[in-house]
Amino acid sequence: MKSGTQAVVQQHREFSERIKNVLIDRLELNLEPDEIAEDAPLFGMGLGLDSIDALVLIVGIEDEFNITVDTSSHNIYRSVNTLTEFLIANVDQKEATAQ
Amino acid sequence: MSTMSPLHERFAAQGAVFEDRNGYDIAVRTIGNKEEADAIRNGIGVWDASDLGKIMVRGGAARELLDRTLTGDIEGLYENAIRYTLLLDEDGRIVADVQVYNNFDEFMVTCSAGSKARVLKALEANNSGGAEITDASDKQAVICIEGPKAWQVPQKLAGLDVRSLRLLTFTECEISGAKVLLARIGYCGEYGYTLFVPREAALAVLDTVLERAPEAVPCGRDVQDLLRLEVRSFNLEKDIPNGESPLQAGLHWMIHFRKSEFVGREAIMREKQLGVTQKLVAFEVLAENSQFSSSDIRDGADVIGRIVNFAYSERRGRPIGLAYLAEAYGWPGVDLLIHSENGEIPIHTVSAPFIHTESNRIQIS
Amino acid sequence: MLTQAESKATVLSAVQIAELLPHAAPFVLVDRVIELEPGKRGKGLKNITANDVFLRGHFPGRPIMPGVLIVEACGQMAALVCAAEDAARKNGGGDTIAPGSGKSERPIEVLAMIERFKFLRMVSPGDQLILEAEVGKRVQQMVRFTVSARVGTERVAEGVLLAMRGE
Repeated sequence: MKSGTQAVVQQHREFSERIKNVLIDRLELNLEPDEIAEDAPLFGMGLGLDSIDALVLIVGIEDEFNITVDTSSHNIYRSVNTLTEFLIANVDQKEATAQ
Repeated sequence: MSTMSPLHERFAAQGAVFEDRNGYDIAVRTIGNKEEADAIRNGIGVWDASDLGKIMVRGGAARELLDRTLTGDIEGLYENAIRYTLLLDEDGRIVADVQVYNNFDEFMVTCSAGSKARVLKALEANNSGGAEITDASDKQAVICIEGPKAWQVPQKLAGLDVRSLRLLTFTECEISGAKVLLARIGYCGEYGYTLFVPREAALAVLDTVLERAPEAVPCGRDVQDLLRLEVRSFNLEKDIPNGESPLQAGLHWMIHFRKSEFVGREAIMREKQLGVTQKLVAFEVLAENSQFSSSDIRDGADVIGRIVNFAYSERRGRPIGLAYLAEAYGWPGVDLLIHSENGEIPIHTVSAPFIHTESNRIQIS
Repeated sequence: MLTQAESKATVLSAVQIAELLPHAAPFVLVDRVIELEPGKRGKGLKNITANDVFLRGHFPGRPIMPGVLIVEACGQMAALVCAAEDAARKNGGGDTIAPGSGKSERPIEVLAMIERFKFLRMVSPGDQLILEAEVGKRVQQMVRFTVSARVGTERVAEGVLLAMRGE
């Protein structure tokens, strides 16, 4: 595997794990991290979260990653993958890992 | 001789093309895949799903039977609610995807026509409590209505405010004098409603739908594959060609992991503990319309996956697809290669959905 | 007791509050607003009197303000912060608030979640609740507020509320 690919995958793995933990802790989901598919819809036909959960989730993400999430588009928090992509694009790597 | 839907003549009158699918005469195309896709994505599409398997499960033991057999939480399924879930075999392989409707004193289990026999068999095999299981498939016609404007239809048909019918819930109403079960459930990522109509009233109700929503376009079945792929809506025939597991396909949300019993549970929990070896991942082709000549997906010279679902999406402007990739590659943002008749083409894994639907933009409930 | 600075300001009187909120007597639980940054934060007060309707039954012989009504008072303070923002927007910006639009036309804010709430001390007749609400994150129609209530310098309640804005 190319080192570039490896780095991208590694980023996804790490962010996914942390996002899933935010989901499970903040929303008190009765789930383990390996019971949440990264590409599954969080809202609607999928995990079935509601609009209250959306706000609690976003606050949790902002706290965990020390970042402001622009909530004008709900496509960012459609799934763990979309959240990961948002974070990869916006989080200062040093700041995010120095927790 | 294929079984004909009670709605056959209306679709025939629209010039629909019919094909035999699982012993049913199905309207596969009406005005053309592209035009039908446009209707469902921008307006309202209507199609016939009467071949849907409908199994009624009644009696005191019904809920427990379904909860023990299927992967989802049926114990906690409220009245008037729908659970989209799976039936697995003992080895954890998907037998069928089903929808369970809790209609007070009776549960309705719906599934594709091709799965019905196996679903019936599994329910009967598990029926130690003596629940009453009936195949009511031929008794009801099914009309699907989907599109960003589809939310207007229940109002026009039965005076139902769209906000009063939440996703995955249903209600009973009267349309053209017939008792109709109106469910809010869609398959293509748009506002979707499914009507279960007594066979005798099928034509009258369809006529009422088309009359009250004149902008609704009658569609065929074939366009569904592309529309479902665009929003990564589960498609059993395409996504599970070879007994792949629900965990590999990313269907964790259909499984109630805290439940102590469901068919295939042991296999699922074992696989979960060991970790999946392959994952179903979305990808787009970084070229204009092209067809693949081999389903192999390569990282350089190594074959690390295979395509299972593939189509050209006008809305994405590219060919899109789903592929099983070795777990190490099963994440968005990875560059890989596929083979076409013109040589190697780059592809890029992405997160779903491939498109943002118009329905998503409309905030109603 | 208000600080000297607080006691000088009346940003919204009880009459103006009744015009701004969709609520009406006997369920308006904010008597006066003393600080207001529309859409951001606000501070108001409610006097607890032995005559308060809800004290009659809670409890006879031992009047204590029900915790859920402290939540409601804080929630109304938060609603005022948002209502002020709406009114200011209708007036083309600025911080002036024009009363007068009918109660039934106003967007209603309903409580969606009490994320957390603590009741630190009981509140009884003679207390003046100083209510504070600060607008936090918004996602679509859902708004999160950090709220608190104090009597004098002592905090009597604090929490986080989520409210849904809509018709």
